[in-house]
Amino acid sequence: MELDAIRDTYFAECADQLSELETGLFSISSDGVDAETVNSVFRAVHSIKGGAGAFALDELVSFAHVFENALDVIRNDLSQSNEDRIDLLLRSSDVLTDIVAAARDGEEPIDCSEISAELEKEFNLQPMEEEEEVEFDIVPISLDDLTIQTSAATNKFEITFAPHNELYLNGHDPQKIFRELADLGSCEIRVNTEKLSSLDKFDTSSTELSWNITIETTSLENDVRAVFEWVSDCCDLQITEDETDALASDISIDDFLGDLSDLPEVEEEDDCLGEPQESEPLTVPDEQPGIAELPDLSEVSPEPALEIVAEEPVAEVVELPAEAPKEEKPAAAKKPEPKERARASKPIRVDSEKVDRLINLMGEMVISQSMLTLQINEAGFGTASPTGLALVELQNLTREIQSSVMSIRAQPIKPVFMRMSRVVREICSATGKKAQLLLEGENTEVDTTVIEGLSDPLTHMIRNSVDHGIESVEKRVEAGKPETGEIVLSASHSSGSIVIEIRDDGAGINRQKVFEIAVEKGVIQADSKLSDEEIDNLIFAPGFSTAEEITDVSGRGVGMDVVRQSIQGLGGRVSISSTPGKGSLFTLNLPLTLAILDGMLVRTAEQMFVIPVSSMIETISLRQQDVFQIGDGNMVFKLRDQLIPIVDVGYELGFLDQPHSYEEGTILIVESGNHDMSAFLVDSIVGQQQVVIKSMESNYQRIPSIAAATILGNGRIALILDIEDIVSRKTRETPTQPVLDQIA
Amino acid sequence: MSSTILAVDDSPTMRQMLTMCLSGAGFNVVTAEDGADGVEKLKEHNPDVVITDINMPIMDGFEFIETVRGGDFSTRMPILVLTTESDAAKKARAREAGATGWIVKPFVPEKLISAVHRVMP
Amino acid sequence: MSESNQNQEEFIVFRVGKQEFCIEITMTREIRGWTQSTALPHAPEFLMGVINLRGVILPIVNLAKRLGLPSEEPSERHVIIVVQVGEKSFGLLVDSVSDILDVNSDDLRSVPELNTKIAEEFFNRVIVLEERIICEILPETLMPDEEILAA
Repeated sequence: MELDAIRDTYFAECADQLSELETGLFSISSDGVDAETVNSVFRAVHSIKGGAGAFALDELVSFAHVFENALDVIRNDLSQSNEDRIDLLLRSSDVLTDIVAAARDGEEPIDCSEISAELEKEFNLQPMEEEEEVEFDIVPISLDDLTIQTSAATNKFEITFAPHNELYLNGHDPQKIFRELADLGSCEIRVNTEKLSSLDKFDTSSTELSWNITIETTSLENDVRAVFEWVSDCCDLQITEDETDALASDISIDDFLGDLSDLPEVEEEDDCLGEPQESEPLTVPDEQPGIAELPDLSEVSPEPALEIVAEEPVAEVVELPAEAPKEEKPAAAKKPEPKERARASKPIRVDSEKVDRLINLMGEMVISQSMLTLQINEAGFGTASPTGLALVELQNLTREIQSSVMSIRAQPIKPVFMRMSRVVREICSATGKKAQLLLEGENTEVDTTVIEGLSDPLTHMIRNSVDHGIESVEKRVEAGKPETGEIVLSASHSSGSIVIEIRDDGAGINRQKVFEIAVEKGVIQADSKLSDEEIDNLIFAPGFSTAEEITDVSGRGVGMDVVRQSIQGLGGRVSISSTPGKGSLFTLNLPLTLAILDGMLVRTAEQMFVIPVSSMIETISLRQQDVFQIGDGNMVFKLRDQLIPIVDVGYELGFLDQPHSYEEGTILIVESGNHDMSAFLVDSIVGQQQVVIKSMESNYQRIPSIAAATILGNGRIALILDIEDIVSRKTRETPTQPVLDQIA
Repeated sequence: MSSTILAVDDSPTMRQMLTMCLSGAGFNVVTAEDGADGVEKLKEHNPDVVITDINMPIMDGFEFIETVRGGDFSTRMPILVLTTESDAAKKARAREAGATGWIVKPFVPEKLISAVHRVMP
Repeated sequence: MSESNQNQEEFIVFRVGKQEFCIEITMTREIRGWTQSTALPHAPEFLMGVINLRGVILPIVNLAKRLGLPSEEPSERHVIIVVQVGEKSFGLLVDSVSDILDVNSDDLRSVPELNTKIAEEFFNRVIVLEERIICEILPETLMPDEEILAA
């Protein structure tokens, strides 16, 4: 059997089940137990266990078994759960995840004896013993004629067997039972038709036949009784041992069957399938398949004649049941109605490569469309002309397809967030602190590429929060805070980007210490004057991370500067703010997608640049009277009542040797992440268009002030401005808002 | 014409294993992922034997068997219950619901096949 | 006894100003004509900018400037050699490509002790042929370091 092909399916399923498990337990821990969730959690572990056996993953099976039993206790009685138990279950799910991972990667099995023992103790479980099914005589099935076995020590039993209706209703077939008996030894079977009514009174819905059987066998009475195990509740059965001599005659199955065919036939009623039917063994066995009585089948040994041939693997990825087209079935082509099932639309699995290719093609299509637009414009087709209208139609369509394609790759951020709850558990366990993770907006959708890059930085930041932010239990109590610290992890959309916040109610940043460390590490001068916020953000400075901070728990040698780089690599920003004694807040800003951007194309210093539309507030023609100078060379723009610092794009980026003239130009008011506004000065606005984001980093590296590049319709490159970066550089130079307010 | 087996289990791994094992032995295999789906597939394909799990979402194995036995389709086909649980109460419940036989998983392919053969004429 | 091929290496030889240089051919990807590049802000002088190479953003290094040699305004007469170092590709602006040579190991020497920084920084070996001296350049040395740019 091709177990390898199924192995992949199994571990993929495990991933789903573990995710289900974690989500369910998390929901129980924050919202309390409910039957539905406990059931689904139980099923998740059950399924993992089920498959594990097939791959001989004994460790996994045995741990899953204990875990399952623990869950069963709660499943059967919801009041059996309490906070400590839930915590134990959460830890168990962590262990289970690790065991599955080790099994999947072929690594050494993990020792889970400790947590198993804990589970057994806490839930009062019986130490694990796989219950053996009733032993059944292992006799190769053969339908050959049986000849008398006159081996020594044969026993003789007399059996009376009178089935009830239920026996037939449950799909049993006396014929099959007799065959099994025949396997045990030689039988003489006599049907008893005493109770049989005459034809005119015959009731097809009830049974009136019984049998007397004499069997001679080397088996014991228990074995004989075992044949009837499944039907013992639905028949009258008597087995007595007979001391008299064994049967002398040859009995063959055919004879036995031949006897039966002498009996009156009973019509099978094809149409009344709903009604209980008379058993068919009275006729020759080419009737409807008999229904066998099945004792524990796991003990049955293989038929010698049977060949198990491994065929080609079954349909993989997208699940399709193997069709069984039978000629008599007109309904074969009909699909089952989905409406009866309360199930959301089914997900399908697709190779991510295929999606990536699709997205790349989308990108190329956007560029191609730009080129076409350019050509059409240059050829003089107006927007109202048929060509112009057709183009607009195309642009709309492209935009829609693009949204759809991007949404394929957009996934809820939930799995990444869920992993963090484990991180919190582990750190709390390592540091002895207590903290609880709360999630908000976990269903916010984010592009896959962004999600993948988030896991590590988030982990580090959360570790940091617990390790440095959340105080020890004693300190918290002293400060009048609840023993258990709270970390809120939230995600939301905000004008074209994702905002992720990690908020803790810990002690906040120790600014003095951070300052000292920064001086010590040469990050800043001892006499630097920094605002509180600037001090807080020093933790992200390269070279800041201190050896003393890199404990086993926090970061494994990775500091906040690496975190910042990772986030920037995703095209995002991260900053921290904190209130001593109250807590800290990490804020991450990430682009919704790494592929396509709505951009405003501008021209200045003979270059083309792109400004993300999501950052733009408005555009205004520059008039000299709106421009003022403050202090030494800081130009501001007066917009209604506000004074907004001017960013001379061409000059700032080094494309102009002299500042732009303030006599003419265009101002774009842009807003950066923390709602600061700037007035970007350019020559002119070219137009708005969608651009495909091409990373600078694939062949080059990160350039300050530049987020990425794009290829325009004419094949030329335009740089996409990094608004945040440009603005933050500028704000370091210009006076702070209070001064501006004074002047205004 | 080969016989048809309906395999009902919510685990894709289990469905795949059952299908590979049984179709390798020459059976047509139809699968369903829970009791409700099982009922649909049974109506559509009229299998000769049914193998079902117990723990499934939407409609569990017990309910599935009860529905099959009580419905207006053929009630007589053998229904084997395939599950890791082996306690007596569950077995009894299955029997009451109308199950024909019981196989504990993890199953050994050869044993599964022979069990099916015992049930199938 | 014939010269066996295993002692031969292949180089692409090009001209910058009056001098010839070469690069191991295994590191070169293609040769193309010059296209106007888009300048990058705050870039070192030798980094001319980026061009669009079939949808990929390719940085271009003006080799003359990088080596500290006199350079002229780039034009259609110039040539760009696209090289690949690890995962990254970039282009070298040179005057022209002169040759592709199979060179015996006999003709390869190590760079003589010179006082110039350039030799230290960029060169590896020298091909010595009858009338030509061709210095081998290591492409991985040409791109600016990250620190320079983290303004």
